[in-house]
Amino acid sequence: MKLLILITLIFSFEAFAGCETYTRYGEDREICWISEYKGYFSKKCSDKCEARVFLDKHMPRPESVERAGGKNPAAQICKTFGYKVSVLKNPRMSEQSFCEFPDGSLVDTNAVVRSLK
Amino acid sequence: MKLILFILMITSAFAQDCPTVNYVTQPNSPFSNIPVADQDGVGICYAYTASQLVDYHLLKTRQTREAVMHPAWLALKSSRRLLYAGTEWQAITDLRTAGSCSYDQVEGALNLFGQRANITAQPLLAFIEAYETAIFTESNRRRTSITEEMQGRAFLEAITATADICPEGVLFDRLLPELRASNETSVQLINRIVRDACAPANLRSYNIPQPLIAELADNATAKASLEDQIGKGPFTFAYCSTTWDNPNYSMNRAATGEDCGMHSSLAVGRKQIGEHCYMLVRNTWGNGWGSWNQNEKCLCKNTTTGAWVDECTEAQHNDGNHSVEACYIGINRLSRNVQDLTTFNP
Repeated sequence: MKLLILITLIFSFEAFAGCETYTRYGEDREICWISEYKGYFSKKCSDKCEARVFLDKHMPRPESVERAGGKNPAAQICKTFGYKVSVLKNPRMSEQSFCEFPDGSLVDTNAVVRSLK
Repeated sequence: MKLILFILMITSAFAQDCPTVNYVTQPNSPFSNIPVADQDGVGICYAYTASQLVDYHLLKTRQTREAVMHPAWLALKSSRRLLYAGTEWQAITDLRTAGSCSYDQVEGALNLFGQRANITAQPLLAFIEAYETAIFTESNRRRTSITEEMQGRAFLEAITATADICPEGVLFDRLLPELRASNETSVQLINRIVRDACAPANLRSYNIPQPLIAELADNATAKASLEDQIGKGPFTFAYCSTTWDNPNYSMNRAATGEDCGMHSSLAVGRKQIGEHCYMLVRNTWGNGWGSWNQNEKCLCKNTTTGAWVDECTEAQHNDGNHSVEACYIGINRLSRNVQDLTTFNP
């Protein structure tokens, strides 16, 4: 039993290695690296969160996105699929755009782009 | 022996054409106090890069200890009708006479205004930009002045256009009276929003040099200017960002209105990698650029130790322990796509 608990702990640590507190609209959000997807996710993103489901679909890459004025093309791609984009600040105060799914789960827009076919 | 000497001579001669410069990793670099920005859907790249160039200068000359420029403030002061229609040169030139409202003051005022509609600064800027784009498109098309009916339509268009970046629960109806009352450009509206926070008494006057802009007529001139300027300091440049997607892309300098993803970034270094000379570019697309830097070597930082990893590859871009601070692009490739440079250096 102890071994089982230990293994579970190790795997759960692996899944959410490298969590940091980002801020969004003045609120703290726990953001974690998930190596399986090579992306940053909101901590509440469990196995069935919509962010993961979307990445698993490996959608086709849009042919073009609107990027006038230097808009971030990764963020624009997220919007092309109909999702919202939120910009979060990491603990070093640098910004990163995240794709936000209807269940509230977040994944960084770069991971979304990398998941496309 | 002669062969070895010959190779050494050739190597050293080539290396001299591309001496290493890195304004990010040098000791006490001002860039360590200037966070990497992600402009998301706000199309004011010129203001983002101009604010970073000004912050670099202010930190370098010890006029401030932290980054103080807000991109929206520079966009406001660029004396253009539209928020997104500006240049780095114009924004900095106008900032010199307008004075500086701090990042916190501008962000605070935008957030305070947005509170009534439950919207924060960045989506608010995008919304105002979308509203204005819609209203001026119709106004120009009809060649008439702005009517209340047109404002209503533009308002709905802006809601649709920004639905994907505005968080749930935005009370858009509370913004309409403000937009209607303004009957003005986005620049004027945002000026009104920050009017109290950025009242003349609250503005700082920094010693900011007059920027210079170099329009680049051809690829050879562009390359010579990039090589020359990077030895003097960081600078901003306007270019076709399509080059990140398509390394073979070349801008058509004769064409007007070419949709090449015109963008602005900061040049922050130069280095020879392998047989080629590369420029180091600091972008405003966050700490990773998706597949746009997938095949590029970058300058990364270990997020735990703060150690630099130069020439980091995708395996390190995306390992959860590093952030992308800047990426390399071949100088020839950039020369084919750069339109102009803005610098403080003569």
